[in-house]
Amino acid sequence: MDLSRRRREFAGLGADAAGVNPPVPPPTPKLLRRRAFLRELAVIAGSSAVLTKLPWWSPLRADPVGDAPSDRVRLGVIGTGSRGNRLLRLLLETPGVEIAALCDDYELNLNAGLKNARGRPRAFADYRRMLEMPDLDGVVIATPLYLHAPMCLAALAARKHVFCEKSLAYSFEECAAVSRAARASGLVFQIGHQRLYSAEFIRAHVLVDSGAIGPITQIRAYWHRNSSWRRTGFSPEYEHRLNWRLYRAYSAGLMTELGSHHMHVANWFLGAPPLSCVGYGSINHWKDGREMDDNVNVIYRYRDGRHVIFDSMLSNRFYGMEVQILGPHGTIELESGRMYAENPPPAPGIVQLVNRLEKRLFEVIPVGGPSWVPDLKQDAKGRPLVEEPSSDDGTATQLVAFANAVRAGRPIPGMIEHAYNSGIAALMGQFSIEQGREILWPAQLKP
Amino acid sequence: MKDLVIPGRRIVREIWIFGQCVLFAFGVNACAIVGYERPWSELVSLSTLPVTLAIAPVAYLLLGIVRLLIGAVRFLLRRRVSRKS
Repeated sequence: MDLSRRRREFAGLGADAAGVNPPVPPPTPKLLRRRAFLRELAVIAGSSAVLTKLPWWSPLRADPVGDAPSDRVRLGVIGTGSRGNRLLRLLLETPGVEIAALCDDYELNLNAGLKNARGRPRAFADYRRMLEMPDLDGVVIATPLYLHAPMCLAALAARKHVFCEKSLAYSFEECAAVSRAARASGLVFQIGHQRLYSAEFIRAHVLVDSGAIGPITQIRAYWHRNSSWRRTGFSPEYEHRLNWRLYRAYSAGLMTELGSHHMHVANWFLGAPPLSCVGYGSINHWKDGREMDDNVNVIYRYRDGRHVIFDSMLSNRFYGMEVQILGPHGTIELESGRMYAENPPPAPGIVQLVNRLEKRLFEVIPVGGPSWVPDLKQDAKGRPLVEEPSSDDGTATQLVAFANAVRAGRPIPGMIEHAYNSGIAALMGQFSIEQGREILWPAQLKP
Repeated sequence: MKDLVIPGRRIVREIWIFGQCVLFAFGVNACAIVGYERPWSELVSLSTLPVTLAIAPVAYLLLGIVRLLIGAVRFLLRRRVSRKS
């Protein structure tokens, strides 16, 4: 079955599988107060001047939303699976947003969305019908990867603003086509890279900019889980539709579904996309008929001899997920929000004295121990990037930014580049694994 | 049951000894500051005060053990002397 036929078959298909929807987490308890949040961010960033380096934050500087009908932003959600419903709940809390329509061709998903939505949004099984609504301002797309490009292109053609979940698209060409269309349209186009709106990531970026860890020499990123990634408990006819992440026709597996987030962060912190990459992957644990690898390991080459190492696996979760920014003076762990100095300031004298006495009294000195002891990982606690981390990982804030940008009718600066660079980087990794060779950045494409 | 009576003088003496232990702890902190070439602000900083104040009761406890031993030796000596006489 070719891809276009699949797309026709699944036109309007919601993202993450219905019937087997995990419980949707409760909405964030408090609404975001933009101005207070901006002030808070300015403190985090060190000064409001830093915010000028974050152009995608510009929509958050908008005036507060009023009660006038013209302040309302009417959005439709395409794909009301687990992620779509999560976004839906956050959108319901976003000031000035009205959910005008929901679309999913899987009835259980659609019903779950309708149950969560306030008011009476119109329900669709085919996204193309939804896009015909004249009073719809924009769409939020949370569908399988292979549907991103056709849905984004159709929405832009219908003059709807677009928020699309990551990763950008299924192929290099589609990434370029969507980027071109988004740029040409003059409409708001946003990709679901919520880390761009996370206070901790921004604080980390400010620290890196200030030279706190020295120049970045390497980025290590990993995303480990110990689960099959398989959804169960439904009729076999839905296997491909609901377990789309496991099949190549619909997804690029771990690289696009998880790796794209980390590649996005790497591109952002290194200030440019990768030059090339090499990678390996295999199915070494979940031999259950899936097509996509259950473990991937990719090395990306960037300018100035810097590398980003990404790996992901589904058979061990001990190390969980992390992005480590490494420099000669320190390390930043972005996901846990901590920074570790290579040479931390010495402890107070009295503490040093007590430690010394303690060592003399209780330490067992190994005779003929391993010579690599000095190279073992230091048990450092580091310090938090942000004293009081927000409960929002950036997802709620990015939706506020999207709604504001739609209201103002102005595209979010820099967003298409972020979407394109991370989408392409994630695909490069998967292509390298599949083709067993180095994949170069597709410079010939004009996004 | 016989009431245990601790005279006020004894209490004052113990408080005085504990005070000396606190002073000793600050002295140790001062030595550490000099020894490890740290700023004098560490003498009263919030990061070192808990450690300093923890040293005082430890010193008082150790001193108590020493005093107990001295007392026991004295008691034994006195008993031997009184038996001989």
